[in-house]
Amino acid sequence: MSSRYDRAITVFSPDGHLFQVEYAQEAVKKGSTAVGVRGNNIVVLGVEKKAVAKLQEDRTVRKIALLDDHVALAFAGLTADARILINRARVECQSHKLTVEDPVTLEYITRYIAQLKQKYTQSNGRRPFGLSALIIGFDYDGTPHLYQTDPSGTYHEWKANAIGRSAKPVREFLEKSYTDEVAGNQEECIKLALKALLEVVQSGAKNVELAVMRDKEPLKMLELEEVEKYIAEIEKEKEEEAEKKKQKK
Amino acid sequence: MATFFGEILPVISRAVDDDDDDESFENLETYVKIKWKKEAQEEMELTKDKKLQVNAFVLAVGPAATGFTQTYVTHKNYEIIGAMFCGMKEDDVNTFGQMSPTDKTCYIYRKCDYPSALVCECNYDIRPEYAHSFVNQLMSCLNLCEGHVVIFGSTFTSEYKSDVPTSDMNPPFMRALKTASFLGTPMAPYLEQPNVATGLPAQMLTYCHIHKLNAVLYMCYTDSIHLDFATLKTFQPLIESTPVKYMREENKKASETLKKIVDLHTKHSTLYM
Repeated sequence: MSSRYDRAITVFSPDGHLFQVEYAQEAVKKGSTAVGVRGNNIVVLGVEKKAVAKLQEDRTVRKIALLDDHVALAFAGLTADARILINRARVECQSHKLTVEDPVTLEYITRYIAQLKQKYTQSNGRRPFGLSALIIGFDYDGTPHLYQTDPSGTYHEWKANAIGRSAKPVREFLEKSYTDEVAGNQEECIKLALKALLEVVQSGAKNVELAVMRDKEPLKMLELEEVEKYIAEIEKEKEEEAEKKKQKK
Repeated sequence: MATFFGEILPVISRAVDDDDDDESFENLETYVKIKWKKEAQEEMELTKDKKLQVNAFVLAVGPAATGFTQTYVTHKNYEIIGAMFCGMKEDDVNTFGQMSPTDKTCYIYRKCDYPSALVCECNYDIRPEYAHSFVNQLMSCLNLCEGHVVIFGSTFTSEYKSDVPTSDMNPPFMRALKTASFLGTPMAPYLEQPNVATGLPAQMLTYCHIHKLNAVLYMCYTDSIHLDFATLKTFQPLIESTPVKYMREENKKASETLKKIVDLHTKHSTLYM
């Protein structure tokens, strides 16, 4: 039954499905994991770094993109779709700044991206964007935000979330580990994002990329040494936990 | 042709001449060829029924299954004794020399210190219409009366039908089927109705069932287009399955080998990031 209704985007199936949109959400799961954590005064993005072919330029294989000085985006899904969306968002950020003389709020730019995605789910002959995005940043008044969009064009604000291949176990880990205490401490936020990613990614600083943004500061991609330092701290904490448990027994 | 409402209609044009294919279909029986090494052939000649005595047989079909057996079973202490060739023309030269990991090969390995244990690793797709010939030619050279057979295969979750959405099933996951003669319990849940196993793994299981052999088929359902760690890891508990537990070789560099295999299959793909 579904084969007659899953080809063209404008057709609902008899039981109310828009198959193309649902299939686009499957495309998101083909991309590697990305995780976002919002603290009280920091936002963190972590992505699983894909193995780059030997002759490929590393910098062109990036999952984290800057949309404006105070907004960054990490995506999971079709690379080509992501580049188009990022370009449109970047232009909109500047257009907004020039028109109303204020930088975009996170909600505004997320809404813009989401509405763009939704338009493509209701257009004849076009397919939806096959990607989900995690958008982080600080509004002008200093409040941090983390938003997530998906191929259907919906967007929601999150305290912490994951998208891509192993999103479900990562999200479950975040649900267990995210506390107000963690949110209040910048280092803990970074470590939480890293821990969540290491749940599903092969251990090693070379396999993850972390980006951090603080209020009125530009996006900072953490260097390999810094990531290794955090990983070492996390391993130490794990060992200490294990020791404590042994002693309790 | 897509209509205004979105249905797809087939378009027929009188301007295009749809020839019947000039080439007649390849004779199904000769499309698949089995070739044994000289030593193996000589051994077969010496036996009563001209077959190799086999107590344990593993068939791995597809890159995930062969990746698993290469890492945990055949990486050491195994020698190639035969090969299956699919689709070669009469005058093609085929040898045992294709050893590059990206070659499409189907080799038959034998354990050096346990000569009645055989592993057949087929790392490319055999079309269903050739599966019968493949299995017949292979099994007609093997005497498997008391032996155990295990078949490893993988397929996409899009082939899996159930009322639970596949994302809730945490792919990749393993399902099993067995022959009536196999009295044990497989190490994975049975494949639920209305799902069917297809292709070469199914053909082999059917052969085993008809010939009353003990056989289990393990099918991994994965949602990843290219081979990835999660899929390979799903096979890992099966090292303890009969008869693999008697045939495996300890591999201290297992994670490196797995990484190499995964890298081989994924490096070139930049479609999804």
